[in-house]
Parts: sequence; structure tokens; C-alpha cells
Amino acid sequence: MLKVENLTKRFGGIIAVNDVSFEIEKGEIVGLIGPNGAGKSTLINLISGFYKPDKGKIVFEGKDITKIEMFKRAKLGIARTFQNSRIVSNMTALMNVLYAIIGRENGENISLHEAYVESIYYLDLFGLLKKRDILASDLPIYELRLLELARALALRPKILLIDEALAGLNPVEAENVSKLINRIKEEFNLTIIWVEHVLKVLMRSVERVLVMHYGKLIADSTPAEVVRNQQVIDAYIGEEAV
Amino acid sequence: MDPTIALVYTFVFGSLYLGMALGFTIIAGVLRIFNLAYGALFLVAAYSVWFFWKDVGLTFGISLILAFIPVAAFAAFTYLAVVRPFIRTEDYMLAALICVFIIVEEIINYFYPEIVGVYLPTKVAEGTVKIGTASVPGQMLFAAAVSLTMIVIYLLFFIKTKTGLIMRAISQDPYASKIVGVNFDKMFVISMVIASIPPAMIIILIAPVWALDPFVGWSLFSYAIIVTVLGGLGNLKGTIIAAYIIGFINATVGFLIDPRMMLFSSLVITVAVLVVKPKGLARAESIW
Amino acid sequence: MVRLEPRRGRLILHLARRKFDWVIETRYWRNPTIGFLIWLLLPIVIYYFASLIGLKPVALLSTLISANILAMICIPLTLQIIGTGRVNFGPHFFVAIGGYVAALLSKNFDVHPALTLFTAFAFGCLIGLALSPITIISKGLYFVLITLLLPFILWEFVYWRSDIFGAETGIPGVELLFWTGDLITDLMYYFYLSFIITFVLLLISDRVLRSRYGFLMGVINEDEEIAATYGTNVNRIKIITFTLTSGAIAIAGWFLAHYQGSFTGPAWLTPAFLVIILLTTTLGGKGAIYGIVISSYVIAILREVTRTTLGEFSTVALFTILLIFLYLLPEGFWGLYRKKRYREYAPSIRIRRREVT
Repeated sequence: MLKVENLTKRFGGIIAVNDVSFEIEKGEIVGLIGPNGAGKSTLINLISGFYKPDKGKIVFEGKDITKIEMFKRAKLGIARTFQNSRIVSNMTALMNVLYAIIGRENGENISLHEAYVESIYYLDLFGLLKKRDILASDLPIYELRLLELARALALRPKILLIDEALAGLNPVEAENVSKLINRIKEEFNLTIIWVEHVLKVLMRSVERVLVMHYGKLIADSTPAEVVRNQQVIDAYIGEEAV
Repeated sequence: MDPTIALVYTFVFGSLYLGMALGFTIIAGVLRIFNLAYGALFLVAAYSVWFFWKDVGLTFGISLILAFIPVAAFAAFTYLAVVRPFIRTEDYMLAALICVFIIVEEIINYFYPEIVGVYLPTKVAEGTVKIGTASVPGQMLFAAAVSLTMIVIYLLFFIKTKTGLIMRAISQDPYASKIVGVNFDKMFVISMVIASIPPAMIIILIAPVWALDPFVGWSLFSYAIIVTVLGGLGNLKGTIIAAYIIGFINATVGFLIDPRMMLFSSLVITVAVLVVKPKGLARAESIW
Repeated sequence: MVRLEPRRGRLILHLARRKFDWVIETRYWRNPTIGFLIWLLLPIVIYYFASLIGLKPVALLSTLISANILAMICIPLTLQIIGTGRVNFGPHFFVAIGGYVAALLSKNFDVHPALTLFTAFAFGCLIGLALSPITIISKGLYFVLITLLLPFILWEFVYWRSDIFGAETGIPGVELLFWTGDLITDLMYYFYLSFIITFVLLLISDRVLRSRYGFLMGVINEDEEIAATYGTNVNRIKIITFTLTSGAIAIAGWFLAHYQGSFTGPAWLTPAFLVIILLTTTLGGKGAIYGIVISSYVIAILREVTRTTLGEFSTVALFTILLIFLYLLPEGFWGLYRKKRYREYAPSIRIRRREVT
């Protein structure tokens, strides 16, 4: 479904993503982990179109999307969330979902009323219906994460790129969010790439793990195997030693 | 056109524009704001000298020195009264700064309209100086030399002194410098004040060759804007390059085509460059 | 079949098969309707009032017209600021474009005002379209700077080719729209024309802002990258907005040229006029187009009052008062009216910059 070939991205002298290749099948839920500065977020940004790669190819459903603009990728069905949940804080929760729906339909094929109804559906899915008229800046972080997932789902994506959905949540909340992610994956038939720092929760939820270190992909297997992989252990121990 | 004339006038114009833009660049570099009230500094300086000299009745030399007090006070006032309250709402700040500029302009126009005939006898060099085939007014050459000296002094200040180092740090990473405990308000006031000295020096020196009236601020200020913008908003290296580029354009356009088109052509070229390179000539968004 | 049916607290008008009801109880009166009526009747009231106490209504009427002109500029400008997410510091550039196009065509080629209106709008759009790439390329302060330089360029150009543009003397001999011989009647006509233009602009802007596109424009104003991530074609919306609103601002220039019978660019290309425009938009309230009508009236009346009472010191007084407004009313006049109603979405206008603190 998603194929990444020899993807490379440089920032000045630093190679943030170095010759990364992998393939993801439809319906998979894949964890993407690695120490700080490993290039996970850069990879997400490359796939969603925030950055243009210096080298390599991104193929989505058999179509080369390397040079396609960000908004067109969203229309193709690539949705993402952000590391620090970039919710438009000046708008209410409902409006934050609303614009994803209007944007998805190009603003043409859907009336404002229909979009309202649909966004209420997505808010309800995440239990945010009561909070629909509250400004996003007044929501606690847990609800912001949920709102962000609701917004991403409103795009009706085929693949969902999650960038740290659990950061800053307490264990109970983190557990809830990870359950929700698994639920929406089943319900909406999604493919998910999930970048996370909270490894314990992640490892239980995903079927396959990609490990990055200094921009390179160093492991690609099941969670059980990854924790035994010597290279991965070295990478994480190296981080803690520093 | 004789290449000597082009070279000499590129140097003279370039250095003068550099002097005009220096303070503006420093403010843009350290505070990361656009001080649209900067043009008022020219007026405050020139008319303070006149005020101390004619109205108070001091000698001309003392008036020249005393004039820097209202200039510095105005700069500090601009920061404390306009910039600081609106630091987060920049559109308000810019509008307020233009407001302050216009108020100063109108107050000066009220007390010293053009018919008062304000002039400053700061002529140091008489007549014209011949360099090869080019002849330049001596005063312009002197002003250019002073403005170059000022650049060197300011560069030394930024490189050698501790205050200069802190200012460079702020311009590079305001967040990190906040963490290590830099007193922002103090540093900003200091940079506003030191940035107010170059325009005052320039206007005092070029007053004998430049016609002085209460609305001279905008024409000088427009050169400061052009040079700073072309140089990349608060980068001294870029500003130096940009000043001489604008100087070259003005020298060639002024002598070859039409003196009326000098400002027009530099404006067009600046906007054209900005469209191609939106961040100006310099790469880094820091002061040096 | 027209029938008027009084009910408790309301009046129902049956017109054929349709019903219109009017709530009598004052607290249910709709404020836009009241505002519209006040606005509509203002010149007539002023005219009778002035003749009652023996004042000359000419100055009053022309103040109202200049307020309408101000609103005419600021309403599209607000729309533009919201739709492009950038604050344009060169709106008077487009005013001058429209004015010059109308004046040159009318004077040199005797073009009918209706046609010059269309040409001014089209030319404004064209210039806007040519300049629209800068809304994509440059951000924040850089955009402010480029747009700030535009009026200066036109200013220099006008002085350079003063044989065509007439520099300070302007272009005289532009066809007047109304010429009945009675100044008051003319001014009344001018007022209602400017009123209609402003009102149409207001209606269009309101419609656009409430529509799906207006909603997307609001998101662009808040966060462009988010808008793009969620499927909005940001560049297209920005270009369309910038182009059309530039044309709409040029209409104000057209009106000025035909209202004064001449057009003098340097009178409008000044920073002072820019500040008045900017403060009208900001004091109107954050992105509130109704507030702009209020603030343009306040500012135009203030300008007239200071001009007549303070003489030479008027500019200083005017700008000092505006500066004080800026301190005291950060939410604008509209903000006073709707302080607690945050549920309705109001996009904020600001220049995005690197965070300092």
C-alpha cells in the first residue's frame, strides 16, 4: 500500500533520514520507534508532504506521490497527527473537525450543514460531543489528542500517520488512546504508522515495528523480535548512556 | 559613463545608506521587530540641535552633543510605550509605530514649519573633491567616511563586548537566551538606544547638502527600509552588501538615465529580489 | 393578499402565502436590522437636524461619505487579511490604482463611469493577480515589507511620469457622477451610492465568511500548514482572495476619482492614510466586518471634528486619539459589543512571527 524507496533528507550537514526503504501492506499497524533525533518525525513529515525528500521515492497505492503537494496527498487518503497536537486553538472542537471535512470535499460537494452533522458523528466517536462548543485552547491535553484523532479520521483516510499520540498522558489515558486507535483501525479499515516514545503501550498494540537510529532503519520485525535485536538494544542503551 | 564616477558614487551613496540603515538593522536583528518609527529619529536629532542652539541659546557645539539626549530618550520611549505593550500583536505595533512617527512629524511641522528655514552649519569640508574624473561634494565624502567608521565601531561592539555578545545571542535564539537569564527589557532598551545614534549622526552630517524640512524623515527612512529589507532583515553582513548594491544602482541610474528614477529603480529591484529570495540576501536570521 | 395579524409580542405580515414576523419586544430585535436602518436614515436625519439648528450639512454629509469610503476599503481588506493569513500594508496602493485607472480613462477617453468602474475593478484584480505570488512566497514581516514598499513605488512612478499622472496636481476633469446643481442633493446621491457599494461589499463579505470557503479562509488565517494537511488547496484560496479583494479595494479609488472630479495619487499614497486604514480594520475588531462600519464612522467623524476644531494641530490630535484607542480597545469596537460570545468563530488578525518569549 505504501512503499518508501531509498528516502533521504538532509538538513544542512545533518542527514535526518538516510536511505530508508520499507513497505507497508493494507490493514497493517506498524510502530515506528527510535531514540531522540532518529528521524522518525522527519519520515512522517516526508510521507505527509511537509518536506520534500532529497532522494528517493514514495509510492502510495501504486502511485508515485514523491512530488505531489501536501493537500493532494490528504485527498489521496494520507492523514496525520502532530507531535504537539496542532489544533487550531482559536476554534471550537467542532470546527476543528469541520474544516477537515470541508477540505476533504474541496468545499464543493458538501453543504455546511452536512459537514456539521458529519463532524458531530466523529466527535461522538471519541466522546467529545459534550465539548463541541469549547474552544480548543481550553481543552485538556487528553482531549486534544482525541480531537486530533477525530480530525484525522474526518479526512476519511486510508493510511493514518500518528506522531506521538501518547506523549504527556498518564498511563490510564495512554491505555485508552491506544485502545481507541486499535478500535478505529478495525472499524475504518485503516493502515496505521505510529511513532511513539511510550514503548510499553506501543509494543502491545502493534504487529510490526520499524526501528530507526541516526536516520537509518536498523530493524523491521515483530515486537517480540525487536526487543531481542542487539542493534536496537545498543541504540537505546547508547541513548541512556548519554 | 566613466567607471570612476560610478565607483566613487557607489562608495559614497552606499556608505550613506549603510549609515542610515545601520540602526534600523540592529533593531530588526536584535528585537526581531520592524521599527517603523525609526524615521522620526532623523527629525528628533536635527530639530533638537536647532532647538538647543536657537531656542535655548546654547553654542552650536554643545547643542550637537545635547541633541543625542532627546534622541536616546525618544528611542527608549518608543520601546517602552509602543513596542513592549504590543510585542505579541505585531500588526497593532506596526500601526502604532507609524502613528508615533506621524505624530512626531506633525509636532515638528507645527513648531518648525518649512518657512522657519532650519539649517545646521555642520559643514566640515568645503567645495568638491576631485577623485580621478569624478567630483564629489566634500561633505558627502566626509559623511560617508564617518558612517563607515560607525559601522566598524558597531561591528567591534558586537564582536568584542559582552553586551554585544548577549545581543547576538538574543538575535540567534531568543528562547535559549531567555533560559540563561538574559534581561530582555534592558537589552532591548539598550539596543534601541544604540541604534538611535547612527541616524542622528547621519542627519547632522548631511544636513548642509540635504534639504531639511519636517517631512525629510520618510525619504531617508525609505532608504533605510530598502537596504535593510534587501539585506535580509537585521543581518549586518547582508545590510552592508545591500547598501552598496543600492548605492551602485542609484549611482548608475542617477547618472545614466534619470535622477528622478533613483528611488523608483531601487524599490523595484528590492521588491524583485524579495520575490525571488523572500528572506533577502543574507542567509542567516541573525545579526552577524 | 396582504394581511397584518397582531399577536402577543409579535406582528405577523401575511403576504400571499408567505409569512414575515416582526418581534415587537425590544430585546428580540435583530441588531443588524436596526444598524442598517440607522445607517440608511443617517444622512436624512442629519440634514433635517442641521437645517433645524441652522448648521450647514455639507461638511456633515461629506464626512459620512468619507466614512463610507473608508469602510469600502477596509471591508475587502479584512477579507483579504483573513483569506491570505497576512496583513497587507499597502491597501492604499490599490486605492490609487483604481483611482488612476478611472481618472485616466474618464479624462483622456471620455469613458462612461460605469465602464470605468468595471475597468478599475478589473485592473485592480489584474495587479492583484500579478502580485499574488508574494502571498505564497513571503510570510509575516516580509509580506508586510513588500506590501509597504508598493505605495512608495507607485509614488515614485507617479512623480517620474508626472506628464501622465500629474503628480501633486493630480488628474483633473474626471466626469462627476451626479451633477444636479444643488450641492446637498449631489452629496445625498453620493452618500447613497457609497452606501450601496459599502453595503454590497459588506453583504458579499458576510456571505463569503459564513460559507464553506470563508471557513477554510479562517483556517488559513489560523494555520496554513494545518489547512494544507487537511486537504485545503491553500495557494488557490490565497490567490483568489488576494486577486478579488484587490479589485474590490480599487473600487474605492474609482469612487474617489468620480466623487472629487479629479484624482491626486500623492494625497492617498501617504503613510498617514495607511495608518487610518489599518486602524479602522483593527479597531473594527478582530476580523469583524460589521465592526469596520462602526470604526470607519468613528474615525471619519473624529478626523472631521479634529480638523475643524484644532486646525493645524489636528493631525497630532487625531493620531494621538487613535493611539489611545489602540491601547484601550485591543479587541476593537466590535469586541465591546460581543465580549462573551466566543462560540461564534472570529478569526484573529495577526502577523505570525518567531516566538520571542
